[in-house]
Amino acid sequence: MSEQRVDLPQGTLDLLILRTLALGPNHGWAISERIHQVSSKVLQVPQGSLYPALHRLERRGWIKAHWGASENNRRAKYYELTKSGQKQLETEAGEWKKLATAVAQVLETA
Amino acid sequence: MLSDVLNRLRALFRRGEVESELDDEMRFHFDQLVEKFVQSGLPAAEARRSARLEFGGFEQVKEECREARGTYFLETLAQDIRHSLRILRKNPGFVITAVLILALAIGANTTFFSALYGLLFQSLPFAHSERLVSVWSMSSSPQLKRFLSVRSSAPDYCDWVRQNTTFQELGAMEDQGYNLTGTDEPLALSGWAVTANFFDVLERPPALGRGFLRGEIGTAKSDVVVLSHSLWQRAFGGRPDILGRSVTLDNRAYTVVGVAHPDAEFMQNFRVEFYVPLDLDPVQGRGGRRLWVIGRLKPDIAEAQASAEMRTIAARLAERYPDTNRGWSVRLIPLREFLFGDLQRPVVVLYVAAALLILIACANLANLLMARGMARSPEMAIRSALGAGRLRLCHQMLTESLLLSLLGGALGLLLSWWGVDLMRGMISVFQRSTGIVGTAHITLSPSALALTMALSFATTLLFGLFPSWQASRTRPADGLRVAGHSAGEDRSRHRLSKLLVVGEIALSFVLLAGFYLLFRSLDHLSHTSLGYSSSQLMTLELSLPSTPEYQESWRRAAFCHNVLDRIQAIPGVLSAASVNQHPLSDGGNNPVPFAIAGRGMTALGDRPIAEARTISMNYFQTMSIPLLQGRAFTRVDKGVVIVDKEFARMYFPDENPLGREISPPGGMALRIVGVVGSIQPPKLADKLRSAHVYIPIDIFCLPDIALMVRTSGDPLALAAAMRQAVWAVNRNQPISSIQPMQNLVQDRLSMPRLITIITGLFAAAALVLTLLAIYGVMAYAVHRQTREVGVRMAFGAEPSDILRMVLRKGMTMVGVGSVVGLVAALILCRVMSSVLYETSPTDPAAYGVVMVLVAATGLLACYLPARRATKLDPMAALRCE
Repeated sequence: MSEQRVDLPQGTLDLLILRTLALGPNHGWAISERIHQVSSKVLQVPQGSLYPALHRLERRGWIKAHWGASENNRRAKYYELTKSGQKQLETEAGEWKKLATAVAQVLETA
Repeated sequence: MLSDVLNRLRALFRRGEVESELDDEMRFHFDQLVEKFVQSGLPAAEARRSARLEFGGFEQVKEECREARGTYFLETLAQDIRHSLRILRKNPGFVITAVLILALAIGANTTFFSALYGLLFQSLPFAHSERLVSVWSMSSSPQLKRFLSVRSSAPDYCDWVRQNTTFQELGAMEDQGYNLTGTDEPLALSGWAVTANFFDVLERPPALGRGFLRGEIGTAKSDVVVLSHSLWQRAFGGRPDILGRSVTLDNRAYTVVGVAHPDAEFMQNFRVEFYVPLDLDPVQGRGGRRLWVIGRLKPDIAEAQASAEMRTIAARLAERYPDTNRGWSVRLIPLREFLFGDLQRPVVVLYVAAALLILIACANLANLLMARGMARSPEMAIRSALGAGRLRLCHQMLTESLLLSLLGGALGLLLSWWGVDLMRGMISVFQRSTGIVGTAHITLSPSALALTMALSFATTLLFGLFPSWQASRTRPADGLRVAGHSAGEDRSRHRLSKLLVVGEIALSFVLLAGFYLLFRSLDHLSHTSLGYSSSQLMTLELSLPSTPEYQESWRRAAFCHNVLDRIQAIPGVLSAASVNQHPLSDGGNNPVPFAIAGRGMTALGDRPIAEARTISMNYFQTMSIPLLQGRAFTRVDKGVVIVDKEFARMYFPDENPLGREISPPGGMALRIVGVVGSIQPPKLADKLRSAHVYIPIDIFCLPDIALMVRTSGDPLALAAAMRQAVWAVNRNQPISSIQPMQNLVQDRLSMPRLITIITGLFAAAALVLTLLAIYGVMAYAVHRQTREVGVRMAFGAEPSDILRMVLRKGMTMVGVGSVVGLVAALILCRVMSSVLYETSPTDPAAYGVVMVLVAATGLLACYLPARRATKLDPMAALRCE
């Protein structure tokens, strides 16, 4: 495990999950692997946070779950984005970008 | 939203399904992880190990998922309740103790709070009853200091009515006794002659018919009567055609014009059975203070304002009529305070006692729960190691505490029901024995119940939660090591326990001190000489009607002599005498101002005041009142009088009263021929004795008569014969009461006795609770110090050293608690001075006794753990960790 890990800032996990699911329905394992890869192995989502987050998002109605067959033909729980989840993703992504730009600005000029 | 609800419902009702799905999901993830490790080249077993390491606790993740799902609370509640019930069932001793403590605390507190609430805050059954006040004459001259609330004279009353601007209505009434004849049996009735506006003051018009008209006062038309509701029911069967009927009172015909509302009998002990118009006879002087005055303040007028105005009026009257009014002012007492004031003090004392007990109980409960929490720390550790979150543990403990509270609360509620009933009984006993008391409506007060329940529940929850909080804070690994005793938190918990015990000791000290003072007071009371002997003494009370037959004093005296002769003739009667009111009569003070010959013309207001009693010749002999000086009355005496020691002490401090002459207002001079012993005042609250002047009935005989009969055996056995003796003289003479004097004396003590017993029970309960608490803390302290004791013994400490070490520790706690308690008691017991009799609330002897008792209790509680410490095997003690 040579890659350098960065802890996820509070509240960003939801955003990452929503963003990942925007590409299409997927199960928890795939979501975590995807985040890991797409972030160039910088972000590692611990299982202890991933599943509670998924359940929380499901409760809020931003994603919904159904059981399906996985690539290796096992029963897996697939999550997909709902309409309100889509909207939530847009808002949150917008806010995140704003925040990131602002923080970057401060860091560079201060 | 809908999907949220559906999700939650599904989670709640199809828990099995949801759980297995959760399981599958985790399992899938885990398998994928293993797969990944295998692909990276690890052997299968190694891959599983790594996956497990990386995945972390399965149960923790699942638990958090459950929590995230939001159905967590409801879902786990059922589980928690089941689990709690199982745990509680397994510890019946703990449960019973805790529930009993809770129930006791809630029950006692609710009972006394309800009583207090009923007496202090509940209003009288009249509209705006807070505006009802009683108005009293008050003497301010130093020698009359004790007459703080005396009745008022008719001319004063009329001036008050004319001059005041603060009262909406000011009414007056005077006691009146009539004999009702013409019904099945003659009845001795007591009632009130009232001013026309009496029912307006109460704002409670008669239930039937009407009240009195202004024109009916003091005129020929005044032969009208309003019956009380209870008399109407009792003597006339509640017949509706009573209005307009004629009834015979003292052989005179009265027309019934109304039946009063039952609420008008608010002063039940005065047994008001009828109302007749009051004749405000202007001939009656200002010195004759015989009227009760009650008034209704105008809206928005404060009592203080009315009080100030009345005092101004009184000052004006005192200036204009110095002869009768100098030194007299006016005092207003809110009606409810007047009616219930005597009861408030004992109830306050009991309430304070109950409050102390609940505090002790709560402290004990807290310790109990903490000790239990400590015992359960391994359990907590295991559960948290298995994935229970801190919140989940707290939930669990909360559920347990709640269950305990509910059990205790339910039992406490039952106790309160019973206690309030008991209280009502107590108060009616008290009312019977003391006189001036109205009808107290005491009901279980919901706010009282809510308050005490909240307090005890808060204790349970707080201290029930405390251990789980601490347990969930300790790292599972620490908790699992059984020998984790020396952890810092543990020490702080122990310190808190000790603090609670010190508090308990202090509170118990206060309760014990209170009890002991009350006990001493009761002891004094029951051993104090009344000034006469009450055993085998019968009292018969009757009242002669104001018919021509008994118009003159000599006729009434003749009646007395006649009846006494007949009673004396009954076998078994040793002696019989008459007096206008017996020594424990609740007839109240009727102070009479006497002039002393040779002291100049003094204004009525400055004259010596004494209770006048008109007695038959052998009264002192019958009552066993000792003759101290001079001689008793003889048959041939004319113009003589006997005074009591109190009179001599107050008015002839340095002179011999014998041979001096005194005269009542408007009466002839009477020569003092003897001095007799003084007697106790009828009410316990009256701590000062009154001066008495005894006048022979041959000089003056009042129509109220109490026959005192000393018998050789049980006086009740002769009751019928005594009644017959009265009826042999006058068949139509009703007897209003006949009872042994001993009963009256006992009744007088009933309230102090009840207070003492209840406080005693409370103090005993407090002592037992404290004993248990000290024992618990000391036992734990010894357990904690096992190793230290082992080391000491290994180095040669004798068992007596160990014993001393442990005892010193425990007794320090007891000592600190006692000192705190002593200070608190010195402050708190002052509240009690009003219910104490010849006992100082700061009696050092009493506090000494309590100190010894508490120390003995502490010693007993410490000794057992201390002895156990000395019996330790040093080797085993050293190895114990």
